[in-house]
Amino acid sequence: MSETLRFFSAQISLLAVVLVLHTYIGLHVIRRTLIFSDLVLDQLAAFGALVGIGLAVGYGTPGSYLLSLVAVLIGAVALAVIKPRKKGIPREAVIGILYAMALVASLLLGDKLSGGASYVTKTLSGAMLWVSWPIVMVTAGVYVILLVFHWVYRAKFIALADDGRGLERARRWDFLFFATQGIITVLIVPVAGVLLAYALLMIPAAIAAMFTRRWGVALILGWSVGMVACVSGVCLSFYRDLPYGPTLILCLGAAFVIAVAIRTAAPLASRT
Amino acid sequence: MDVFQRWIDLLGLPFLACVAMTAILGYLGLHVLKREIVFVDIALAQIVAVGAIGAHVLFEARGDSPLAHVCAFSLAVVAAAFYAFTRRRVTGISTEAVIGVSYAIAAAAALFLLGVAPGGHVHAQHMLTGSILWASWSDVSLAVSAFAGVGLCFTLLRRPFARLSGDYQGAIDEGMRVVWWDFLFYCLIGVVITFAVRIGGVVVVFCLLIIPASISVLFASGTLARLSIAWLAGIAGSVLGLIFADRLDFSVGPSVALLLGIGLAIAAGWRVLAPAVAGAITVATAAGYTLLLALAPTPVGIHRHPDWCQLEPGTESSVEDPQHEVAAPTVAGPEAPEGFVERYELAADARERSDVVLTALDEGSPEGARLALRYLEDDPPLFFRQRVVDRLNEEAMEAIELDVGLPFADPGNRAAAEVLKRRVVGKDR
Repeated sequence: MSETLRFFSAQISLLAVVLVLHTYIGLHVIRRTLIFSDLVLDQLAAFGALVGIGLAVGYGTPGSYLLSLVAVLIGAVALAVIKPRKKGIPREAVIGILYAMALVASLLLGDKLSGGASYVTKTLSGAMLWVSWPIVMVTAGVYVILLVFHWVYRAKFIALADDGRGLERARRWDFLFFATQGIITVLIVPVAGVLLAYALLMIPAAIAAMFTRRWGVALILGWSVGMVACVSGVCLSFYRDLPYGPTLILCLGAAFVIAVAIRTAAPLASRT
Repeated sequence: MDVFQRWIDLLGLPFLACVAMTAILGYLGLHVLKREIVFVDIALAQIVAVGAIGAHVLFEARGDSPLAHVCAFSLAVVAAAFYAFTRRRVTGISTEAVIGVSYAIAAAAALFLLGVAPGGHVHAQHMLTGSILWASWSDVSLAVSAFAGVGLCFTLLRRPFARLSGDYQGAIDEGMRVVWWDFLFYCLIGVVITFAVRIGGVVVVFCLLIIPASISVLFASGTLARLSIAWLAGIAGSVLGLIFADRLDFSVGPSVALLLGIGLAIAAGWRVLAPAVAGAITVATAAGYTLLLALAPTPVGIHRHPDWCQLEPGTESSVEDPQHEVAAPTVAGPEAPEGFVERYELAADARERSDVVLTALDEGSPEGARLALRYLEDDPPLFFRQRVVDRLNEEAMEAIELDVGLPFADPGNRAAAEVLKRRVVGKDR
């Protein structure tokens, strides 16, 4: 019993910490419609870890984290700098292509690694079952620092989300935003996998954004819904022996579909 | 062997498949860019993949069976209805966000189903990278007729679709029934993607949709000019990618995608940088590509082992366990002059041999498993190994978790080899 309890408490504490910052960053991402930017960074973090495996740096070691961080920071620069001047190409297209290229690089690398296919899948679906207290501590520490940073400069970032043009040195704040996103990505992808990391960022925030435009309310709403979905996902996966990451995402997805159904039945009164 | 002849033999059909996909996806890409629904394709592609995997897991339908296509397409229709509907009704978040979330859900569903099915990670990579190299004539002709049908619809209905993509709000004000037009639009994309993903995999389909269209938007504004540039770019990327994959022994889909991406980067360079700089980058990239191909170590390429062609039948298995020697006479007897073992031994190269193995398995021949074992013991090139292992795992038996990245005799593959050998013995009884 105590074994199960320890397992659950580490899992759920990590999810609780992660969801706070993820929901907040997710709200920014949704407000700015840079939906797939996170997927780019997630995939780059996975690519860094795969490069590490190619160089005989073990999965989940500090060296592997460092390589992921380098890959992600390069991605953050690319995301902040590359903005198409041509009107016909939406910024999303650039992000999409960056994502595809990151994925392609991972797959091509997987071709050349022995057992590459299983590693590629591992980076997609994650290995969250191995969450231990040290990982929770480190992650929580970094997340708290980032939260404080975002709290202090919230005005700048919110201005960026509402309308980037009014802000001085928008590119620098843009980079800082993507860098934050990158750091949390590096921490979460090795344990959660690309898809779960992306889902944790997007789904609670998307649900919240459908119901309110106020940042504080949205944060609380997103966190609570995300928590309920994640806890049910963890329990389902544990007791029914289902694949961990995918089960969690499907639970979050179910919450999203319910939210869409509610919104469809009762459209938001005040359109903006 | 003449290198061009070999390229035509090996890469001709994959190239045709790429041309067909470029033709339709290049056009759709222009619409998708205008509507700013870049990710609809990757989401739909993933949803289609879920349909095909679901058909496999639930009904044990093979990937190319009509049932799998029907399952895949019906899921695409459901998604199409969902997107068309939410675009009008759900405010507060953009359509792009809905699409992004549905992508995550679909990808998770695919991994979930694969987690329940045997040999999951092999399938997961297959879903992403596709199997252009194994496109058969029937696959390609089926896809071409589907694309032609969709192309016809788009030609006939080009005015309303162009209106809708160009000015959505204006179309609503004019009283167009946008939900239904949107639904039709997504359904047609769904048809294209159902067939394209089966051949190309999720990644290459996405890249063929977005990248050629983006390149064309950089250089032209008229629809016809854009379309021709997109087609040219797509075909050039496919050719270079196919050669790259063949020469350096990479998966075909990601290679094509990579070359397309490099093409876009260069094209963007021409628009942003001074012509001299952009020219220098272009020349440097082309030189790098050529150099890489020229310096590629030859032994890893497909068909490149001269000994595959020259080995006398039988000599290659002389060092293996005596099982083979027992096997040969039983089938090469008078009642089976065209037996699989004989055909296998007469086959010219690794590819032909894998065809024999797959046919034997398909026809339920008792020699199928034995030949598969013999084939895998010879450590043929990765692509062929993968193909045989995938086929073996389609049978509802104990999964063979063979790591195709390792040699067959590697200790890491011992367990899988045992399973396979047991299966051969089981067939003999």
